[in-house]
Amino acid sequence: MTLEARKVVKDFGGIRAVDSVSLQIPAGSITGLIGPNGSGKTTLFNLLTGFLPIDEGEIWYKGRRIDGLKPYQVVELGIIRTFQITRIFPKLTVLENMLIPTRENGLSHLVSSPRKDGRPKKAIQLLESIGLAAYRDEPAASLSYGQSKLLELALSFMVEAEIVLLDEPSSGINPSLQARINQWITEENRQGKEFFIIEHNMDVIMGLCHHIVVLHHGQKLAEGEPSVIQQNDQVLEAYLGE
Amino acid sequence: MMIKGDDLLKPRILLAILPLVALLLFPLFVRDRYVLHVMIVIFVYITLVESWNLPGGYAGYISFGHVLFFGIGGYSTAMLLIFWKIPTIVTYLFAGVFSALVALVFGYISLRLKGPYFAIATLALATIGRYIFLNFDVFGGAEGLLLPISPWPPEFEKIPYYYGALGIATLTVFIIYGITKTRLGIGLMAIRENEEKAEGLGINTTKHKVIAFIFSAFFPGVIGGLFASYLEYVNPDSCFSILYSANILLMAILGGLGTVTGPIIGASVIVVASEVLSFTIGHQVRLVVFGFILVTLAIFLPGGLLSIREIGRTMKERGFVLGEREEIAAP
Repeated sequence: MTLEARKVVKDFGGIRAVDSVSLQIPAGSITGLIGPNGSGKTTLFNLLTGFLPIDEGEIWYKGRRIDGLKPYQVVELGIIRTFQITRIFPKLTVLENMLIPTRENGLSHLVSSPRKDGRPKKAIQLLESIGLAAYRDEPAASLSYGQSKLLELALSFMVEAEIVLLDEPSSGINPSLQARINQWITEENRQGKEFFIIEHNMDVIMGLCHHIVVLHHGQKLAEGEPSVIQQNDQVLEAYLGE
Repeated sequence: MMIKGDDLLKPRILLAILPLVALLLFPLFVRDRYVLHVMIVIFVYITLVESWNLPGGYAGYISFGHVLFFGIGGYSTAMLLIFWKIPTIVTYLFAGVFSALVALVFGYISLRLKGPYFAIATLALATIGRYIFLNFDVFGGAEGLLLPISPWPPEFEKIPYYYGALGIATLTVFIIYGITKTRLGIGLMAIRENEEKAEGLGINTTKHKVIAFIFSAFFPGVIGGLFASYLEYVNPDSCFSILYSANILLMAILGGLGTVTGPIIGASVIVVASEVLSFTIGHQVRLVVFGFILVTLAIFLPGGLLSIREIGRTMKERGFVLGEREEIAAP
């Protein structure tokens, strides 16, 4: 059993941002989450990863209820996310940034070196594959917006996560790099990682995802394979208006 | 601080050991009681600032009340020496442990506060601490407590405290340095840079902060104990004066926040400058000078004295030197 939301509700004041949404990420899949602006996609991510408390409903992962856990506890279980607006650590070097992600917080782990277990080597390999290896000793603040996006993505690959939630990984990234990121996601998926991706770029979503969930006004509008979603009248209406 | 490969490590260790040997030999050549006293005060402040720097400089949790742990250490040693007659050196350990326990309880409650709110909480705690010691008879009230007289002959009485303070300061520096090289250290820096993101990458931020806070209280407790037995008295003013907290902040900022060598430089410069300025322009005017230095530093050298090589760039950025301003890339 993988990540599952059961009738999750979130209110902001009088606005119901997420309205009784139930969904399940199919095992081994790349699942897309689409919907017009303000439809509750990022809020749903925040709920799934413990950044916001849910008001009603339940969230389950591998037969365990995980709503109410703190963000780091969710990561310890193997679920990691990226942010829509990149949040790297500007004054630390690119390599130091890469050494931060972790699934352990035990005392013996805390007093160990962040450089053991070949982590720097893994970090540099990842940086090489996104073309940032040359910047490894530069402060992350010196990266451009697109490069920061890439670093943000690479950070989520530094832990042996089971599910990766990506919030608009392709915004602000040029098409050739985009192709490389897609390739990267596909490869990681073949090796067993599941992905849940918020994306506005329909080419990316349709090309990458096996399964798509559509949100509209906080409610789940539709769910299914890309080809089915593309034909769905309700979805087209939500996106294009009447 | 940036880690740039481990090849820099060896000369660095040499750089640390040479001054240490010089300091060990120092009392053999200098017997002047005043000079030794100033050295002890420097060691005390190095311990305080280095400890403060772990949550303050590395994790960005600025404490305005760090004097509390110094004071708790002082009173712990005083009480233990007076009432239980435990060997002096053992009381220092207890002093550290008591301070650490207070830090554990206070840290667990208050470290969920951020930025200025945390700073105010620490200020409040230090004030509360001071009033507790001021108003309970068992602590001697405003007059404080007198400790047993030092058994050392007057001409040597500073020597054991000199080595004691040097030892504690050295231990503090090396342990804090060690911590900054662990996952805990890099986690603290991540918290400073972006706490929410750090938590999103799996860092148990509360645990990191509380551990850092416990360490940052332990060493001031130990050195507070030593300083109390050195002065042979404790009272609420000698132990809880807000001037200590202010000095810690000044030294940390002057030396360079979030660095291991910064506190050493900051403490040494400020203590020596304090003494020199007290002789020349007077004790009170000196504070005005320090205020001026702090404001100037904040503008021109936000990285402290350690970043002095970058002063040209900062001056340019602030528009004090004519020239091309560095373009800030638009996102």
